Amino acid sequence: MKKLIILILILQFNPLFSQDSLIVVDYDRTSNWVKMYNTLPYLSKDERDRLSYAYGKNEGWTEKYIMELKGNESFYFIDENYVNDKYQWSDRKETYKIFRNFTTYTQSSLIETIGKTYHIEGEINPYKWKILTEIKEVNGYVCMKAETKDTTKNQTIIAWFTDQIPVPTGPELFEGLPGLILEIDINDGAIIIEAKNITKKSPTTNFTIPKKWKGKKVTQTEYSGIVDKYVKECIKNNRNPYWAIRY
Amino acid sequence: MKTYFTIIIIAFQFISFSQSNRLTIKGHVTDTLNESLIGATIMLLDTKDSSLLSYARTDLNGDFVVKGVKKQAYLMKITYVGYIPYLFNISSDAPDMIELKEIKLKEIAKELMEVVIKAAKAPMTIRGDTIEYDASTFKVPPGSTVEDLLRKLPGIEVDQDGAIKAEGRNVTKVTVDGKRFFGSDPKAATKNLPAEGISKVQVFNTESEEKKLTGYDSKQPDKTMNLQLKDEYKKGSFGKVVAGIGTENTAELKGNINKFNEKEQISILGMGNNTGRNGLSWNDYQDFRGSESSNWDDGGDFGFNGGRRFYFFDDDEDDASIMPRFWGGNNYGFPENYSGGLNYNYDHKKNKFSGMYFYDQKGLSSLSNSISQTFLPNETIDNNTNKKGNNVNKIHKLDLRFEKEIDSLNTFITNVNGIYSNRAINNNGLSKNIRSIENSNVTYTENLQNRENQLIRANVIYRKKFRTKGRSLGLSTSFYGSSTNSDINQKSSIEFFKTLGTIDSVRNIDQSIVSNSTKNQLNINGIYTEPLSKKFFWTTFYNFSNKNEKINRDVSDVIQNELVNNDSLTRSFDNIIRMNRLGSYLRFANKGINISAGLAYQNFHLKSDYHAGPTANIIGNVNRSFDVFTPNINMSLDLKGKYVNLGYSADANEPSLRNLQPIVDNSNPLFITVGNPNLIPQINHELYLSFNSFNPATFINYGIYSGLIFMENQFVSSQIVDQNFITTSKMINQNGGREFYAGANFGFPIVKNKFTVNLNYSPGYNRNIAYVNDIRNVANTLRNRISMRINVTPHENLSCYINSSLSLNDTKYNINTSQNQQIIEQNYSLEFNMKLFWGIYSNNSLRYSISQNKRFNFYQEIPILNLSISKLILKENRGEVRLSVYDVFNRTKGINQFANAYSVSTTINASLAQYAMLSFTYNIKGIKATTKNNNFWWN
Repeated sequence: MKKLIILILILQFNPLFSQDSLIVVDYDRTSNWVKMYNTLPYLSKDERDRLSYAYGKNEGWTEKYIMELKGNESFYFIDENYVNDKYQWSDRKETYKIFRNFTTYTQSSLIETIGKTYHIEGEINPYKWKILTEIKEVNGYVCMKAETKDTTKNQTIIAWFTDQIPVPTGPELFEGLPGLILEIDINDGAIIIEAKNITKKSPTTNFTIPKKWKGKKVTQTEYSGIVDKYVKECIKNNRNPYWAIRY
Repeated sequence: MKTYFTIIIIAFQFISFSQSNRLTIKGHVTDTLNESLIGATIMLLDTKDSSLLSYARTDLNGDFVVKGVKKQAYLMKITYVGYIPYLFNISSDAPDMIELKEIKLKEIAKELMEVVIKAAKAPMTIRGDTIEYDASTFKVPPGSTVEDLLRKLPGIEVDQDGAIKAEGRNVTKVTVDGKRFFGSDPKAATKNLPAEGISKVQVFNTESEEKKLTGYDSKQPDKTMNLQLKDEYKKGSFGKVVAGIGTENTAELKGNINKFNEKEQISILGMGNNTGRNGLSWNDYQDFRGSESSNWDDGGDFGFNGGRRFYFFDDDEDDASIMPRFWGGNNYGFPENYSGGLNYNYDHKKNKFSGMYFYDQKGLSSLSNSISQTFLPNETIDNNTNKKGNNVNKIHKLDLRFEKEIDSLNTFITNVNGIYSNRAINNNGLSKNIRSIENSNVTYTENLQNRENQLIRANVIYRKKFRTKGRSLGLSTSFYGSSTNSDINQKSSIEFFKTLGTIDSVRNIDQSIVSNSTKNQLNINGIYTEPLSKKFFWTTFYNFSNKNEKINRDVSDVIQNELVNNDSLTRSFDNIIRMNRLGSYLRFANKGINISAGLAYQNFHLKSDYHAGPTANIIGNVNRSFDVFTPNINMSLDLKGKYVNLGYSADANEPSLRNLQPIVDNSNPLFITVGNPNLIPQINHELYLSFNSFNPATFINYGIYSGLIFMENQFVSSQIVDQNFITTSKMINQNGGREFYAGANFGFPIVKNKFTVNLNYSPGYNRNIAYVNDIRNVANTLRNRISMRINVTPHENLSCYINSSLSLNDTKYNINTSQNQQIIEQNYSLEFNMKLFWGIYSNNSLRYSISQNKRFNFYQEIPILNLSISKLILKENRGEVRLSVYDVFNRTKGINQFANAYSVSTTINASLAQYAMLSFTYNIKGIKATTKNNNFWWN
């Protein structure tokens, strides 16, 4: 009996197995729009050079997001109360909430894009990752490197994941690695999503999911189709698609 | 027994038929001391591209199982923090069940792991037996060689002579980008290459001859070190030059070259033309100023959300910005422009420095004819004037800017600007004024001016953010000093007629006016913001400015080639203008809603001591002080793709000293000005509202904007015109001036991205007041403008842009309704771009404008057609040859129509009209030809 009590106590304090507590991760999403413009195929070399020369040294634009993890479920959403205190200006944050259950492999998400809000329900479409050989430290956790590509948006996405937090989730719609993704780097710094703070709340805290979910109901496949179609149309007509969708 | 046998046989059959295509892998993971590793990750990767196909984790006992995966070749990778990953190949014809009992992971050396934890980027990659270092994370002083860099890398030792050892083994071969570097001595590269050029250092086992032959090494292998050089794109240069020569003696030349690296940017720019076209543009401004092109001359003038500039400049020569010189061609006249400059930017970590020198010379020869009418209560004066002018304006400008980020909370910026400018003006004019057949005059004028100005401005801005989020402080101070000297020669001869053809009297003026003035101004500003809660902020600001100016104007008459002092017209001024402003506002900012409301108190103090020449008995002073309150309210809402902005603001303008000084200025005998010491500040109250919507999916956009301005104590002129055409003018305050403006636009695609239409309607209303011969003149002008823009871009090789606008200005006068005017302007333009055969592009534009004023019987139709063809040449499309013809119909004229409370005028300027030009462009980075107008800022 004593051995059992000791074992239970050890399990409680073992970080790998406290899967009943709510883990909260704060992410920063920084966009470098000069690098984003550099990937648009219709710009001439002259225009690209001019952009980097005149604006290459500007700071990126940062937004904050929050990830809540409990058991095999995750909830990722934008921090609506964040005010960029350099300008003291409040801009309306677009709706962005992604809730996923990795046991049933389903999701319920609310994403605003191209001027409309979509309610994505159903199966999660898995990502295909390549595992690479680099390692680095992000916020106290040693992470491994993985890579995937988005052919429509012409993006190379690097993810740094830690198997010490064994939930196969990550920021935005990324998932499918054997651990939590703590950093995403799209197209070599055009977008960087980085975990800034990882805290543990008590097991009794629950997800802060709002009660009302209003949006046009689609599956993830349909949603990707809508985004792909818009990007292709914009590129074909020499327009920048990223005013209306996220990079 | 038989049943059992059958069952066994059947079972065996099942087993043998489930040489299925499914695989199960089991195993046990430990470290080298046989301790179980709990929570190790097992990954099954595709052997060709390392794609992740499946994964699992070890349990509390260090055991794992991967069940039911498809049978194929896999690379199994087992990882655990702090250990070298374990790799194992699984072939496609492996048995259904694989059991790996002895998986032992080796620990990574402690010092290497420490580097991973401490560095911000990924410093280390482990690829089988290769360890790769990211050289950029190891800091070495500039000018260090690779050998100095290697000494810092963990696991690598460099001895006295430069011999290298990695993980205890000798490095016998060093390559650069995979290639041998100057022979077989490894020290050739390490002692000679600079550390700054290296991006990665890779160390791996040298494959011995024995291994190549037998696949096996009998002794421990030596190491090979490979150095990878950095990408070229972080450094670079670009440049282009455009040269053109044409008929009518026209010529254009423009070029720039830039060189840059991670920290520095240098650019040189030069331009010269006598066409007034193809001068410097916004693109050239960005190429020239580089990372400084988004610094909008921060003057540290803190105020309501941006503030208002407090420099009291009388002349626009003192405008310190070079930006206006970068756009706008000449609308009329015959120009000759030259400019050039050098810009240097340094931007590294916390320090930014920028230095710029710019020279700009603008010359303009002009020839114009204007007709106008001035309305007196009972009669009208008709005027017809011909003017010829030649102006040359030269400016030298030097700008230095230094910005330092002391730490994440404190920033310090200082700017120093210097300008030296020289302006030479030469004007001749012939003017006929007719009041009635018995009363007219003809005036000949000649005006020669030479003006020199030197200006220096320096400012210091300090910004501090406190630890409490939202609390901030800004302090700034600036000094401005200028000195101006001008030399004017004025000759005029006025012939008065009382009967047709007979001169009644003549008045001649031949004057020399030498003025010099010195001004200096000191500004001090502060702003403080305190967060009252997460959504409420309270900001208070204070501005102080003090300007001293000493002006001397010596007027002499030229009498028989001798200069004789004219003491009554000579003036000396000693002025002090002081302004204090204290303001405060409250802001609410949350979820796209931003509202601010505040009030400012402003005090103006104007003091002037003046006197005329020694013999004239004119001496006096002005000492006035004004207090004004200016409220400001603004609300800005972001409602999901729709934006609303509305507000109210009051702006105060103090009267100028020139208008206050109660002296008679009759340097121009036909137009005398008198000061009014009783003037008080004018306050404009403005209410505004705007609404915008853009749908990114359908590309439909619409918006409206509208504003109403009430002018309190507006400065209006009161003029008295006597029998002899002499006008005496005085500035007074009046209420009743109003302005209303509005606009609505609606844009939509008829065929998405191929055929889009934009409609615009803007009405406006102006109420202008003036006093003529003591009678109040009110002119009400109603403006209506409607315009339409159609973009037709059906194909990559064809685009068409059509613009049309109609504007109607209707002015009604209360005194003399027979003077009511209607000015109509119509503009139609068609731009047509096409890709022809043989890679030739054709760009053409036709602009058709119609200007009308029915009262004057004025009607002008001007069609301007520009044609050009071009072709890209040279390797990589680096060159372009273009042949253009401007104004094919030879009809260019600069037309200006104007109406106010008491007069109407129309001016026609002669301008450079038809000419043809052949130009050649060379761009180091290549040129992209297109038929479309790419406005990617809002597309």
